[in-house]
Amino acid sequence: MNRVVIGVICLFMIGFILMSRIDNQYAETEPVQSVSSILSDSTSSRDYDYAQPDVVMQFPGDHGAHENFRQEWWYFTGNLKSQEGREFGYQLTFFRFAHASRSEIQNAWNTDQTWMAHLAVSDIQSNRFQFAQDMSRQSLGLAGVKIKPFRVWLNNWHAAETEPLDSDRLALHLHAEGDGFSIDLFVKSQSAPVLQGMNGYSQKSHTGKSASHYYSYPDMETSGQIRIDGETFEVSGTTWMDREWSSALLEANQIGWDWFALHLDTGDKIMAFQIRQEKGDAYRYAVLIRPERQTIPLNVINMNPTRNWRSPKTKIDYPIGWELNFHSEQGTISLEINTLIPNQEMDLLFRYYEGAVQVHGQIGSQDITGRGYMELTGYN
Amino acid sequence: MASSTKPHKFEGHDGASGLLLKIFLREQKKSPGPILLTLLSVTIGVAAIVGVDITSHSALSEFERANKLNSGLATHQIVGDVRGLDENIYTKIKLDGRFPNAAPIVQTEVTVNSGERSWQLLGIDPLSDYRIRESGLLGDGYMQQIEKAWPIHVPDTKMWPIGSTLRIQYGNRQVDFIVAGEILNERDQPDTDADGFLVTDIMWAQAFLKRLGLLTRIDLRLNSETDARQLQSILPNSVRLIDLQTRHTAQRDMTRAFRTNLTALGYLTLLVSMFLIYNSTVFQIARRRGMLSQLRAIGYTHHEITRILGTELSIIALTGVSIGVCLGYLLSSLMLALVTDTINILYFDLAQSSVRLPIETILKSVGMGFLGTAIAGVVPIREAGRIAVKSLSIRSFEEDKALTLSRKIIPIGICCFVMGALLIIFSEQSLAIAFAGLFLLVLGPAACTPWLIHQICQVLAPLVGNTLGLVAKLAIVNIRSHLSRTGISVIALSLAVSASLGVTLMIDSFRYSVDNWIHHYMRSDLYVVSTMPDEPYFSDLFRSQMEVLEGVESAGYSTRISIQTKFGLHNLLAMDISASSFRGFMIQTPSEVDLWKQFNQSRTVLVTEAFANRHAISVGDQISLPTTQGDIPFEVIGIYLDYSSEHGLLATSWANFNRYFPNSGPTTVSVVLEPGIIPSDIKQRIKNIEDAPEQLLIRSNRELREQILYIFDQTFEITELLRWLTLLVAITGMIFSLVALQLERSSLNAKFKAVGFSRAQLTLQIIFETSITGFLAGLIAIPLGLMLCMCLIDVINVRSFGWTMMTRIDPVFIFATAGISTLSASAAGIYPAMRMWRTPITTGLRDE
Repeated sequence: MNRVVIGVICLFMIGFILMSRIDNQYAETEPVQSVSSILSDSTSSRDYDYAQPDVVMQFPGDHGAHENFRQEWWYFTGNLKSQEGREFGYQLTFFRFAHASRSEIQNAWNTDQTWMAHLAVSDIQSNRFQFAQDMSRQSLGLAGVKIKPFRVWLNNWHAAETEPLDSDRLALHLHAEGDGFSIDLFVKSQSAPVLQGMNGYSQKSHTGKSASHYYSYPDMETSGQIRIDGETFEVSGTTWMDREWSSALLEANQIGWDWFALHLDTGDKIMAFQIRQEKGDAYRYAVLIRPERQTIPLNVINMNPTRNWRSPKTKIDYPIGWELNFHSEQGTISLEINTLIPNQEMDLLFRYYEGAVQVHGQIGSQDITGRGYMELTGYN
Repeated sequence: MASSTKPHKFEGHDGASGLLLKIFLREQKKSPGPILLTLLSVTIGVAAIVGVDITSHSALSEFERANKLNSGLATHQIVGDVRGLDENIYTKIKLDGRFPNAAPIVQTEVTVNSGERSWQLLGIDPLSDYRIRESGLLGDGYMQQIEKAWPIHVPDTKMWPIGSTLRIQYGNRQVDFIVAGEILNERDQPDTDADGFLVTDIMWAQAFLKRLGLLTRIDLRLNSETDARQLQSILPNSVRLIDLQTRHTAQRDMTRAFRTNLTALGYLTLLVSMFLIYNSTVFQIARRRGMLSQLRAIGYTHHEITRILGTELSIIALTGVSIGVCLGYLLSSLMLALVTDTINILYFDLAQSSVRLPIETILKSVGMGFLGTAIAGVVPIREAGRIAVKSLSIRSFEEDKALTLSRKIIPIGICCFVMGALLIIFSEQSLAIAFAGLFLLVLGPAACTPWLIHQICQVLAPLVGNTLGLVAKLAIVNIRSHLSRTGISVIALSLAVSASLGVTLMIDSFRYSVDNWIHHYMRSDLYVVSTMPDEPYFSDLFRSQMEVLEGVESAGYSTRISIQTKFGLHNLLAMDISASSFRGFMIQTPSEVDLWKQFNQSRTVLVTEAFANRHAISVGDQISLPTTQGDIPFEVIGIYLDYSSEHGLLATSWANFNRYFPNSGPTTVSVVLEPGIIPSDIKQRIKNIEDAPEQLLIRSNRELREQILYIFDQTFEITELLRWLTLLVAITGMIFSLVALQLERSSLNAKFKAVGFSRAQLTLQIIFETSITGFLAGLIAIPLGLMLCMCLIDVINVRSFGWTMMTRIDPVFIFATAGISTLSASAAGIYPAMRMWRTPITTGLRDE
């Protein structure tokens, strides 16, 4: 009988324990958000301007914002080395998004421009990747862009002109900081910007319905400091700056892009991208920029991934090894691209891969090597 | 003799035990009274513990929940004056870069669809808020906040579906918001903790409140004290950086005293219940004396009998605990409503939280229930098992034992008393230990009650016999000889009654002190405040017009601001008042000194008694206050009595305030009217003053006073509830044991009838006997209650709240105490008297 009583008591207790645990059954899952879910404007009633082929770029005006375009960015990526030869990669990007606003509300928080900025540092030697983001409305002077002197900023992150150069050149101080790391770099363009696509009009699909205005400073001389966990590294190297604005970057069936900006040891630069479609061939474009600034469009033979890396955090497979083959006047260009460290995933509100890469290959019969940056978006 | 003889083994050992249990249970079925009392005792004891525990837990988790959504992971807040905070300060902080985890907030209390409940409208910037609250709150709705007009996120879209309209009101403003979605947590799931909140984008909140350019506050997550110091250095003097950790700790501490009080009352109920469990167990054993004796005679060992009695009690405990947990859960809903109301009034706004049943509470209450039953039941059960067959059937043996026990218990009672006193003296700031001391202090003397009653009856019997006759004498003699049955009930009753009296007297003294304080402190006829949070100040123009207003003799002005001292966050009261109003302050130290001159000197403050007690401040001490000119020491010139803030308050003159603190103007006007002027006549005139805030709340002295006392009474509703619960248990126990005793004596009563006692005489004797028992228990409880009251006033309240109060012993409560005790015991006599009345003599005699 006593055993029965003890049994009943046990059952009673177990029952209560189970009941009280029901509340805790939610699985620990990370929120999955994307830039489109945060800043999507698909339902916006606003009218936007669209990229046109006949627009002539003008500087310094086009360094500034084009507020009636849906998206715009000031994109800096660079491959740097410390005095001791320690290699780093960095990315600093200011994104601007236009959206609707409310005419009936008269306060500073009601704005039609929102900013987001991303910072990342790849410490190759220690196989470490750190990244951060910041966001703000274009309110109360918290974020924006000024043309003269040029300054784009979001809170205390900025790219600000340090010395007046020719109207189409830029000398900037880049500053941004994340949790435990920061950059303070001085970048200076060597010459006028390279207008991508057709005089800066960059087509993004076979149909031509998606396009952007796009120019680059592919080889900005860079020096400054990178700080990681209290340690300061004096660094120097080359920065690639991209400027792009558009209201229709992707068509409905396009799912993402793979983009490469490469500095070769010959002094040549290559920019190549493919925009993948759900069905059908990707739209591809590539250009060779010679040291004397001549731009030579390349025929893309193929752009194939060679190996994948699975993010331990997001479980997304990113192709971090690539084989690119182009036709050019100099002959076939064959490049093997590999990331310098595998984990360079930007696991932020907008999730993508942006990482420093190394290049090996041939231009014709000449062996070449190089460094660069690779961006992969739209992988799930 | 038969202890070594085994019972008939046709069913084996377990079978025999099973049979025995069946016999016991069948016996219980025949007369379920005692078992029901045990069950009721366990149930109510456990229910009280569960109820108090859940209430305390839920109130605390509600506080944590409200804080979670309100301040998230914020460690600090920047606040401005009552009107708000310039939003450019937010820009300054963000552009500085050293403090990236900052989020602007526009928040206010609103009502929805003309309902009574108030909601917190939280206006956030989703682009920075995720750094503080780690939840999307608005999920992916940032753009929707702009696309649709007046969107709002609600805790529950079942109550307000997406697309429905919510009319949100604030003062005389109202706007129809459209429900855009649910408030989400960090996992993008609907946030179950969001009850009481409505969330919208900061642009809509600011537009709704018409607070152009103003924030309510900035929430910050700072990594270190160094960060806080660096941030402080870039902030203008007009704004304050508040350490939330300090504030939350202070808030938790504030409610700690309140929760400890509740817990103490919960345990008191359990203790009273334990007495009754003991009592009813003894009773059950006594009632089955004959049967147990027979069982022993046929060979059952004392071990087997003990085991079966234990099993029986375990089943009762299990059932009682189960019902108790359920009842406690139900009780907690009622208690939580009372507690939430009190916390809302006294401390900070809490939404009515849902009742949760934490596993710790279940384990604790189950443990306490079983342990209490085991402790209460172990002695009588062991005794029943051990006593020899012969003794079991002798009832007088039991009475002798009870008397011996009641004598033996006296030194234990004295020890309890002394230990209790020592615990109270040496418990310093620990409330829990002080409460334990109080228990012992009351329990010790209460345990001596049966012996005292025995002694009183011994003295009374001949006196009563000579004056009131045989019937009364018989009643007194019976009380004395039935102490084995009534003794424990008497202890439980006097414990509950004394606790009840002590608490009642304490509350009454407190109320009297508060009333007296209001009488002194509030000398004006009218009190005027603005009800518009963004327009709280009275301008100089208003003041100049007030001075010449017909019917107004004089007007005083005051305001309160929060300041962070080394002791934490406190209110500073600044007063621009006349000398006669100032004399309304009940200055305690230095006594009999007019401080008016000193009060108007530079860098002087008064502190409240609560502040002085909590922080060991004496007159003449210097307190460093954060002024617009940096930290400056102020001299404490006096300590005054104040019941408006248990956390403590500092008071300074308007001249000091003007010079050293960000002064935006007064927020309260106290008006003294010329003789003969009726307050209601002048209210409209004040409202008509040019430059008066848009909406004014003007209350007369009487209205304000009534409101304060109403709040006071609300505060103690929960205490009252628990007090009555304890009393209920004790009275039920008392009634039960007296009824049972009288029923058992039906044969004796029949004999009395047979020898010529009239029915009226017997009825009188029964009721007189029970009434005297109750009266004596009540009488003994009176000094205990007085002692408890003194301890609560002079020890517990000073430690809990830091304030002293006048002691008022209202004889009404003392009479009521004796009355309740006597009446409940008299009532206990009615049923046996009626039964005896109806029972024929033959039936009564046949039982012999």
